[in-house]
Amino acid sequence: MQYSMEGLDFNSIPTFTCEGVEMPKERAVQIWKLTYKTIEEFVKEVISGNPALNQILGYISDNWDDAEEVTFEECFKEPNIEIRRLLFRGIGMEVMMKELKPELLGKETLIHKQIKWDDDNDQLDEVTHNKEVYELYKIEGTKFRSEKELEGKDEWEIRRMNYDTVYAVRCWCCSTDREYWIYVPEHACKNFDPIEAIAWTVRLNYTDPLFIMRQGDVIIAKNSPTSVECAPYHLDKETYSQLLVAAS
Amino acid sequence: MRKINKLQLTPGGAPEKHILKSKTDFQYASITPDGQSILFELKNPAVITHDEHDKIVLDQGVYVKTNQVEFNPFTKRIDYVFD
Repeated sequence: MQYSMEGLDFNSIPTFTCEGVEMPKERAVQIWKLTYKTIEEFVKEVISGNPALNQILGYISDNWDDAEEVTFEECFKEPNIEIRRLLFRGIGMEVMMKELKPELLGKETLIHKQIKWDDDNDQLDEVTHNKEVYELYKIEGTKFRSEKELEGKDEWEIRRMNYDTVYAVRCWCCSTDREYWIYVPEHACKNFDPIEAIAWTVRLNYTDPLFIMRQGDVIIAKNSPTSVECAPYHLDKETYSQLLVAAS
Repeated sequence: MRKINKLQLTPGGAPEKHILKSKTDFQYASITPDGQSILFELKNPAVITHDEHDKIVLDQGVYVKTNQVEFNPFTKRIDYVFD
């Protein structure tokens, strides 16, 4: 079936914007289905408040039943962190926790300096401090396997299949309060310290930064007079905690 | 090094994301082949704006922009976090 809006053919459009995130339209339908379960609920919760979406309702209705159910593995493998967030939210944390049984390795609050600016972009004299909560989790790779895949396997075989144990930092954006899961390597988790793990996610290639600022996933580091280009290195907990002066 | 007074710091995506803007031109250059790390020098203050995050104001100086990274447990690669 063809769908048109002022001559626009929705079949030829590769992406939809789902909650502000542009993604393949098939993925958008999967997320809406995951989140709202029925097309009636989707219409009630989403379309009613956004009449403009009526234009794509035909496409969504026609593809609703055929949209494949998203597996946990698929959610975790989604490379785009915003789409991953919407998938996790669609499944629901309660379900994820129950099914995947992530092991909480540590929970810490990072308190860091927070510079702010007024409307004229002048720095405010008052320096506040920001609190960011981080949780570090471990999820066994077998949790992503179906019972059928594990059937008949001995402990050794299952351990061999467990190559993709996931270590992830669960954190919340200080601007939007959205929840994110960021993957980290095992060696960044050896002390079960989520701040050490999140520090690893900042990788620089200039030495001796004066400070760093973070806006979402973007990191800004100010070079010092002694800064020189170097091989990429990951920050440690102490350096990250000391250098971070603003996060939004 | 190229000169410009407005630069989107993350490639692709909506145009309102992570925009670095100064009243005067600044020099910048990609310092990694993937273009995710950018070196720039400000002669005057600049502001980074985003439609969902508070602004960041930078005074003059030399800066490096990069993105957070994560370890993909499925591909065993280090990837940039992007939205």
